[in-house]
Amino acid sequence: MSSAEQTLRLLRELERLEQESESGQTSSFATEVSPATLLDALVKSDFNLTVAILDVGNGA
Amino acid sequence: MALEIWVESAATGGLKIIDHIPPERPCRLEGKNGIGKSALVRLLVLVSGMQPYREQPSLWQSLRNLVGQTVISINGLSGDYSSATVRLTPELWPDEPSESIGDWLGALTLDGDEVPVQRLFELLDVVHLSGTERLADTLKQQSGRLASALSDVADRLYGLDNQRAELGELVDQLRTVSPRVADSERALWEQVAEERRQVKADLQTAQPVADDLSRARALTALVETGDAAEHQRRLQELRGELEVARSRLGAAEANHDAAIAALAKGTVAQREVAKRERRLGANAKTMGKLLARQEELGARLEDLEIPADVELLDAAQKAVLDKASESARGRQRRLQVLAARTRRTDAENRLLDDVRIILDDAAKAGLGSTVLARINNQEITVSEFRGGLGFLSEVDDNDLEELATVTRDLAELTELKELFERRATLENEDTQLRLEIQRLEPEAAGHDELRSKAAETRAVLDATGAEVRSFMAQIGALSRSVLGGTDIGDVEAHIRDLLAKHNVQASELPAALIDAQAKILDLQAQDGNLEAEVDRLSASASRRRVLRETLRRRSESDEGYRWLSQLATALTPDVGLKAGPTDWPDETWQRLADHVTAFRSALSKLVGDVGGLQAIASQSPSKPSPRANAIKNVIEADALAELSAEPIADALFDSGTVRRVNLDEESITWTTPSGETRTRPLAAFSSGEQALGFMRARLQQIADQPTTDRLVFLDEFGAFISADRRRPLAELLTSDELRALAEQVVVVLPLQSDYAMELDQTTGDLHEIYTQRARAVAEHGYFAEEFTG
Repeated sequence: MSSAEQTLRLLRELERLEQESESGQTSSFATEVSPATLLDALVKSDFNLTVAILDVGNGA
Repeated sequence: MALEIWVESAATGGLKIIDHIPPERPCRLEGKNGIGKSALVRLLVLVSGMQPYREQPSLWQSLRNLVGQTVISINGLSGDYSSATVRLTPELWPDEPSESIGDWLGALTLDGDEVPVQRLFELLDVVHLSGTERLADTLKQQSGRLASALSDVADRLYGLDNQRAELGELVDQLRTVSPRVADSERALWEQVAEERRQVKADLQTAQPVADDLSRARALTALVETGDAAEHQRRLQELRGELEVARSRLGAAEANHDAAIAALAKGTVAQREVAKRERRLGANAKTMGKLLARQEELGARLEDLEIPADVELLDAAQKAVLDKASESARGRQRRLQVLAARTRRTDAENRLLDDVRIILDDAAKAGLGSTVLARINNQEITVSEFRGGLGFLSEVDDNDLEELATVTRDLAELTELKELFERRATLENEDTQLRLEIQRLEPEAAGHDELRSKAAETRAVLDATGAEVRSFMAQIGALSRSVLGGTDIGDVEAHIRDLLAKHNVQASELPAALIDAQAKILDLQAQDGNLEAEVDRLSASASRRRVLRETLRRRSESDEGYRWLSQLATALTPDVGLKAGPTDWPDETWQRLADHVTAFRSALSKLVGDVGGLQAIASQSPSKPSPRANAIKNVIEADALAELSAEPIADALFDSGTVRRVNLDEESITWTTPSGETRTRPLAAFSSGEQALGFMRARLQQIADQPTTDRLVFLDEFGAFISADRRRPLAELLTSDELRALAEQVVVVLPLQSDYAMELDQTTGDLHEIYTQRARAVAEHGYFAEEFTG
């Protein structure tokens, strides 16, 4: 398993735990893109920020 | 083909490293303690990109200090390269055992080509299975692997720092141009404008109160000290004396005129003197008028802390007057531009605002002296253009009350400056004229009585003129004082009226005055702040328009920003955005702002999370937190998956189902096929049969994960694996079941016997083998051969 894949697993688990602790609260628009989603896009674009923005944008 | 290892040791200080592992698979590496078996294993783990000295800083530092530029060669690789050579560079190694192995490790060549050492990490996997390793340790190592993975990702993210900073600026710009911020600023502008109207109204109410109380306070002081009556008496006396002085001045002027007229009929020289005397008389009248005007403007001079009767301005007083003029001129300029707006169309005002924003930004960027245009041979710089921007000749000073006031202020200040210049010129001219008259005196001596008469009448004229000016100055000063020319009885009544008007008791006057003045200062400060905020918000709409245009054009022409227009299209596909002069719709700008802001926030959180997780994974134990729990949960899930593998479940868990690995309690819970739930501590899986069973299971697991080149060391198993079990182990290692395990498997054993001593007791093949072993041990301290059991 690559470093990025292992990190993604950790981020998703962290996200799950945070959502559990924040259940019932509505999230602000600023957190609509999760760190895990973003890392996934960054990995796919070989850490090209603008490509990742477009990727996340197209998926939004 | 099995992997072969060669080591050219440059170690010092007693550090020993085994120098050869032959290409025999599986390989038996047996030797004396301290001969360098473990050192070689750890170095090979290190060159595969893993840290074998995690949480062992002293051992790491010892290796770094002693290993020298040791060269490790690995032959028989099965991928694109057949051999790899690493020359270690311990002088570059970090002080602490870093999880992330970097360039500092050493210089790598693959088939003779120099490449970054990290390439070897991709090609080679080194697994070190230790018989003394507890299952709990195995699980904790996973935390280290996670730390290493997080470190890799963190490094990639740090590489984006500059782009993150640029993205931050872009987010600020997109938020500025977004309709939501525009609406919010519009509402804020209305609120601030209303607040300012209220403050101005409060000022208009408070100022007369402060003025009245101030006047009442001054009058009270004069009445209480008895100065009021004296003041009034002195004023009346001065007015009488002025009348007398004026009539004397009239007579002196007539006498001087007559004396000059007589002198003008004399000789040529006397006529020349008469001309100058006449000129001196005219100057005296002009000076009188200037002084009378100076007296009228005395209050303005005193406001600037310049005495009203000052003769000539010194440098400091001149600077004060210049500064006041400059300030009034700046204020007049601003008010003129403001008044001009009311005479322009919206389109004209928008054009001016846009240009103003661009010019202000350019000036801020240090481009103030840049020449923008050349008009009628006159070069216009940014600063000059900005200074003249917004001027409209049709604006009347009476368009705004405030403008009319400041225009009057400026006119009077300018008049004062000119007045003092004129006075200085007249003084110089008078001095010159008197010198010329003195020079002409010898030639005019024939009619000395005429010249003397003219001189005498001029002296009287000068004296009476000075007397009149003196009385006027004294009367002016007294008139400007609080009391003016009011009668003492009226003064006391006036004080009572002022206090009653504002419902202030006489005893409370000092405190009430301080409060009123403090309130004025506070309101003025509020007004200043609100004015600045209104200006800022007023400029925002223009700045937004200019910024949108700049961003849009950049997204069309700048390759680095092209993604912005692509994202705009992706976010609002139904709008049909086109390149060109037309602005994008508000909806597009809002979505862009929201999206890029969300992306940037996520990026910041990602960097924070990865850094935080890395810090926690690198330390143990860690305090409970969402991040620590995430790491623990992932490790437990991995462990659960690994231990649930059939070979391990068969060997260790009664062929049952593993239910839970609990890192906190260091225990495993499983259910047997009969349905019985059992829980045991991890430490229980560490010796004897179970160690062998666990090792077999681990080998099977490793074999199930294919890789290019893998080197497996089975270390410290001697204590658990009896001699009669070694043959089955050898058979296992060469079995089809574990064919994919590794390119090389090395069983590391301590010296099992004194082979030289046993030579006499052996015969045949065994004798031959023991002979070779005894020779190798004697020469190198170890032997390495094919492992057959």
